[in-house]
Amino acid sequence: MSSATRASRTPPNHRPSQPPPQTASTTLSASLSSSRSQLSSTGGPSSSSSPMLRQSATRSNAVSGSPPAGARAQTQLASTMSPTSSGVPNSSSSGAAKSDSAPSLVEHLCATLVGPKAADRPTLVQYALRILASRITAPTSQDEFFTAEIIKKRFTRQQRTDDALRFAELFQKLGTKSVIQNKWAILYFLLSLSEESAARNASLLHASKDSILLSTSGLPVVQLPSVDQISSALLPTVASASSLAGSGSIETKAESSPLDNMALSQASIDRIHATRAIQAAELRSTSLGGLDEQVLLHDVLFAFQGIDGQYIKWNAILDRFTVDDRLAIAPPVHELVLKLVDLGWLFSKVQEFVQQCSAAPGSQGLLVQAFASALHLELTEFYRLVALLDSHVGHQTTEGNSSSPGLTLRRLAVWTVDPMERMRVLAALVDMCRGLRGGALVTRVHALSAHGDPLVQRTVKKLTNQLMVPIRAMLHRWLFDGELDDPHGEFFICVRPNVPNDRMWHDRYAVREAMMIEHVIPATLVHQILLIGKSINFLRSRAHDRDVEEQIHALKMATPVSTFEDDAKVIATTEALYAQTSRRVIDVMLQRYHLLDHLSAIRKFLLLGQGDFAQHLMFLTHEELAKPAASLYVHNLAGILESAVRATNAQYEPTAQLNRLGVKMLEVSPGDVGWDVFTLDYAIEHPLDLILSPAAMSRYLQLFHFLWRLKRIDFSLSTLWKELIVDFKQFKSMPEVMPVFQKFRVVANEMIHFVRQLHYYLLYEILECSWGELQRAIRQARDFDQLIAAHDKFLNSILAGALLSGSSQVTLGKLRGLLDLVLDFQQLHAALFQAADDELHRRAQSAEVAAAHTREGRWGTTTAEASSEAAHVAQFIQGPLEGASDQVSIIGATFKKLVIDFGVLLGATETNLPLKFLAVRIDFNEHYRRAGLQLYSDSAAAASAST
Amino acid sequence: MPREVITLQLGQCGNQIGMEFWKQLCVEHGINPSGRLEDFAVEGTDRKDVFFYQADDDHYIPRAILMDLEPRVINSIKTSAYANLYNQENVFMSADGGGAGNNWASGYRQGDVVHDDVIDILDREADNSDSLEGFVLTHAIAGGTGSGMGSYLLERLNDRYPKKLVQTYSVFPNQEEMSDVVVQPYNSILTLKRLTLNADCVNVLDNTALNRIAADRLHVEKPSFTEVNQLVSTVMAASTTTLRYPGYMNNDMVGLVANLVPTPRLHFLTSGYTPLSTEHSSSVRKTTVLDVMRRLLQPKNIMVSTPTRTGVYISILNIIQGEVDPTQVHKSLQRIRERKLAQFILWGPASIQVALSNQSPYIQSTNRVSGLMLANHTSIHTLFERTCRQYDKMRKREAYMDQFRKEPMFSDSLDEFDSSREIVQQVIDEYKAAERADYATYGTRLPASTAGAGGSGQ
Repeated sequence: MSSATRASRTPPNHRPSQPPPQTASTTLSASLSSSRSQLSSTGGPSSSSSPMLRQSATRSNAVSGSPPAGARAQTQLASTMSPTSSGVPNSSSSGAAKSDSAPSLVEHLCATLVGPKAADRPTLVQYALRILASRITAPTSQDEFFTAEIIKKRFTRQQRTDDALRFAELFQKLGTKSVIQNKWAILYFLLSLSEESAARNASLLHASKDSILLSTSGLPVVQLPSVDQISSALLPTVASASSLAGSGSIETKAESSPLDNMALSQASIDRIHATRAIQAAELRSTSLGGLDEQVLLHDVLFAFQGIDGQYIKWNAILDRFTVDDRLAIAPPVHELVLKLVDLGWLFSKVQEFVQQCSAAPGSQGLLVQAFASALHLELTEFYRLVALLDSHVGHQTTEGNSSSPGLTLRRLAVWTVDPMERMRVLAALVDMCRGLRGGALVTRVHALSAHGDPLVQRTVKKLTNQLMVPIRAMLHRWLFDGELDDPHGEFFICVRPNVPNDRMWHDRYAVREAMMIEHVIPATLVHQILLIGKSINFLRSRAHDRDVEEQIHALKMATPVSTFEDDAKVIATTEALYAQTSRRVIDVMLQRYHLLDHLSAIRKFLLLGQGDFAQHLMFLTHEELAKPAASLYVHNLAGILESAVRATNAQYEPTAQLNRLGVKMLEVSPGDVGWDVFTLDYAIEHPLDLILSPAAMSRYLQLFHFLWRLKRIDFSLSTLWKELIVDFKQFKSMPEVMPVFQKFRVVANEMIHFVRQLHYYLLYEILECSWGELQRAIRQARDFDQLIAAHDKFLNSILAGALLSGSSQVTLGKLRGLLDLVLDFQQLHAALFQAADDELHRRAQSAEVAAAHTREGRWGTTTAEASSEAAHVAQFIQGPLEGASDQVSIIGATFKKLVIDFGVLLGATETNLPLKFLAVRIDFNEHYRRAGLQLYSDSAAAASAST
Repeated sequence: MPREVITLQLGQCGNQIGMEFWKQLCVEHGINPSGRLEDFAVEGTDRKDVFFYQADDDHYIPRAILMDLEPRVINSIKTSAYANLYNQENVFMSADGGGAGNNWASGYRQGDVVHDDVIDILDREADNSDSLEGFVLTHAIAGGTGSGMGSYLLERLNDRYPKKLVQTYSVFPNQEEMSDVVVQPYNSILTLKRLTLNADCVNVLDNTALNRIAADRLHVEKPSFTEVNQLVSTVMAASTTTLRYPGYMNNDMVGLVANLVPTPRLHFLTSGYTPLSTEHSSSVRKTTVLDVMRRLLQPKNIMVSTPTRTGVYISILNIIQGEVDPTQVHKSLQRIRERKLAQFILWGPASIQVALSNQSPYIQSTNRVSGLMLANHTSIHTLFERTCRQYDKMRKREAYMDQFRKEPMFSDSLDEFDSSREIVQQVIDEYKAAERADYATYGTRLPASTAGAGGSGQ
């Protein structure tokens, strides 16, 4: 067998094996050589085996003493081996031209052992090759003397001292032979075989394997015929050989068989070792086990793009790229490769997201699309990098004299540090932003921009910038045109389609909280932006203002969308637009729609600010309204209203306002009089109803009702007073009415005082002051929202002050009770006055009759007349007079009590300071306090003084 | 136009006051002396129709009736710049032209003589009004025309227009200096009876105090009538601002007075005004509401020479004009209350009512805030008591009675004197009673005897 092909791999000290001579001994040697050829992968030198053969032959001769027996044994051996080896010598002889490579040798050997047709022969071959290729070395030092000693020791341990001596002799002989080169290898092989046979009955394959150089670290377990099978296949030949040699010392044969085995095996071992060493050296030179680094690099680069390579494949179970197991690469390399392919994992994550988004474009909205495209850009960059790296693979960069490959795994590792970081950030973003849409997406992405790592910051900033593109476009549209271009609902301003007219300003456009982009567009800016859009819409629908439209158009041309990339510009533009549009809206409302005039008119008419008009209206209607409500007609009352307006300073109001003033009749319930259903009304239409909404108007009407009631009471008290003081003079002739009326006067005085204080408080402290506030607020309002808010505040404060707000129910109830009492009192007085008046007339009449009688010459009054007169008088005194006298006392006492209760409630429950002051004012001279009851606490009084 | 007021200017003093009053009103409303609206005047913020009416050619005419029994003062009006302002038909001068000679009885009698003419004029003016609210009478009570004819008129007004409010601005004589009218007390007492029984509200203008104030403010030792009358006209004008500049409240006279007068007898009001500025004085400090209200309570600003430290306020009305911050008012009231600058009655609730009024836009005022106080103070009875004392002194001796006896009213008896004195005493008593806490029951018991005959009733 020539080992020419193996020349490069055979170490120089190995001589090619020679075909064995065809003798009996040579048969043996042939078989041995054949077996040798199959076993040894290093093109084991047959020359080294021939002395072995000769040795064994001599041994066997020494044992048996008869060469023919040995020859017979050999033939037997040969014959036993012939079916297997028949082809072998042929092959061996014919194989002289065959390659002497280790794999082929192993092939032969395996074929010999298990038959050429065996199914597992290729695996066996592979396995053997693997073994040979591995760097498994003997655990002991390669010292023959040492190994010999071990063998001797074994013998002595096994009480085979003769064998030990024998071995020592043989070893000495071996030592003298210079033909056999790798004595140690042989010895060790034989030793191992004997150990193997000893442990043959040991169960585990692994253990046996382990014991024979086969530490299969990392290599998968292959179900192979165990080596002991191999050795058992070999052994019988030896055993039979020895049995052939003689029947004698079987024991020795048996004893020597291990030796023989060993001797046999040793040679093979030697071969194996040799081949393996060569291969190991080869491996070392390329630093990869059996695989071109370029291929691995290629695979890694494929993995970077998420594609399965030759050896690096995606393992779905482990959710990572893994290197093919059958590939034998060193662990550090393995680790490095795994680290590198992590990039591939990140890449595929991002890639998958991008693909998902592009697969269903627009379903998630523009921003997600933008996000996906931004990611795609990044990935494209990455592709470029990979392509660049790929071009480097295979190139050799020459540095000085040595040439090294352009790209190694290590270089790759270094160059991919940055991209890895970036990809990590992208993957993190993908994770964070899964499922988010619109502004929330931007917020999330932007939240990462505060990261400390500048690389991360840069990446995120770039990404945010791209993400903001659709937002900017929408913003631009909204700011300048007031239109929302937002098909997927991602902008932070949304439109509600069906909104009633009076809520048009408030509700039509609103901020969509979920889509707010915090920190990029702060909340105040959002508010301003919303206002700008609302203002523009309002102006367009209402104002048709050339000027402003042109101005805004000019500004729009001056600021294209691209300028919005600068945050400062955005803020500046927003500010400018806000100032402009809001001012314009306010101007439109104030000037074109005369908002202030209308508010003023409402104050004058609905809130009775035009006192003379209110007084006159009261004067004209007070009789009418006392009638049952069902009998009143709106047009009658409207006519009265007209005359009241014409007769007072109300006529000087602009007609625009006067035209809106009208009379309204509320719903009539049974038992109502005119007072309950009468109200004034002020007509409001769009766009005034944005501020003066129907709800606001109804509150105004509520106020009117209350104030009108109070005015009615004031009016009746004035009338009452006049009757008590002025008209009273007519009763000079009836001194008996004096005391009762005096009582009335005292109570009236109290009532007048109370009502006056209440009235003053309501009209000046509440209405007038709030009105002043409103004026101020309107002057200072910068946008329409503030205007609306100022008006709402005005309404609320006057309602609260008038005790009409929800929290003052109890106090209001008490007040109503008080006012009702005043009306009762007034009615009582009216009745009495009428009765007194009637009595006066009756007396006048009877006096007239008496006078007439006197003139006629008769008695002025007859006794009967006198007595009837006296009876009448007495009746008058006892009836209406005394009745009224009693009643008025009751009313007076009740009134006092109610006032005290009311005052206490004011002081205690109301947090509204002016109301507390009202309590103080009601009891200004401490009249009630002296009655033992406190209307207010001293602290409240002190508080009101200090403010 | 609703709530009209007819002004009656009676006698020398009355007409002088009245003239000043109308002058002031014209300036405030932008009406020039011939009754036409000035160019700078704008309609809408003020109500001229309370005191003025318009003729066919739209020039404004005061709703005023000028009456006197002697021509001097009215002639001076007729020759003044404002001659064309008044309705000539409303100017009544007695054909006699002799005046009343500071004799109440004479004035009364002459009033009776010219009764029809005067009533005619009154009726005409009253019919001219949509809804007449009442009458305002300006006179002096110590003279002849103003007191005598005034008393007569008051009685007639009561008869003819019983449901109309009658308010007077009555000038009481200066008691510090010797007057050339020796029968002042008689005139005063006799007039006071009518003021008590027939008037509903009397603004007492005490010449003593007026002179003092004029002297102080104007830095003149003896202020002239004009100057004093200007003070009066200021007060009169100020007390009608809420009628002439419509605001939330106090838009009619009844409402204004209802606050101040609790019972029929207690209707004598004192007034005060601040700041009284002249051409010389410049504003020393910023006028605030508190400042104004405080000063109004000071005795030196009150135009009646009665002590306000004794006695109590039955009611106070402050009419504040100018740039007033409504939020300040309450604070001022609190301060006044804390410092007890005003004593109030004990028998019922009472407080300082505040009326914030607009001002004339045509007058530049050096002060931002100005105020008028109308108060019903019980110490006014000291004024009456003084008068009564003087009267009693004279009555005892029946001094200077002969002039009165000449007149028909007193030819038979001097009962009129006595009944008047009695009435005044009742007023004094009632005021004194009002200072006590039990006033609530005063007069609420039937008197032991029911008065039978009419005439000298309650």
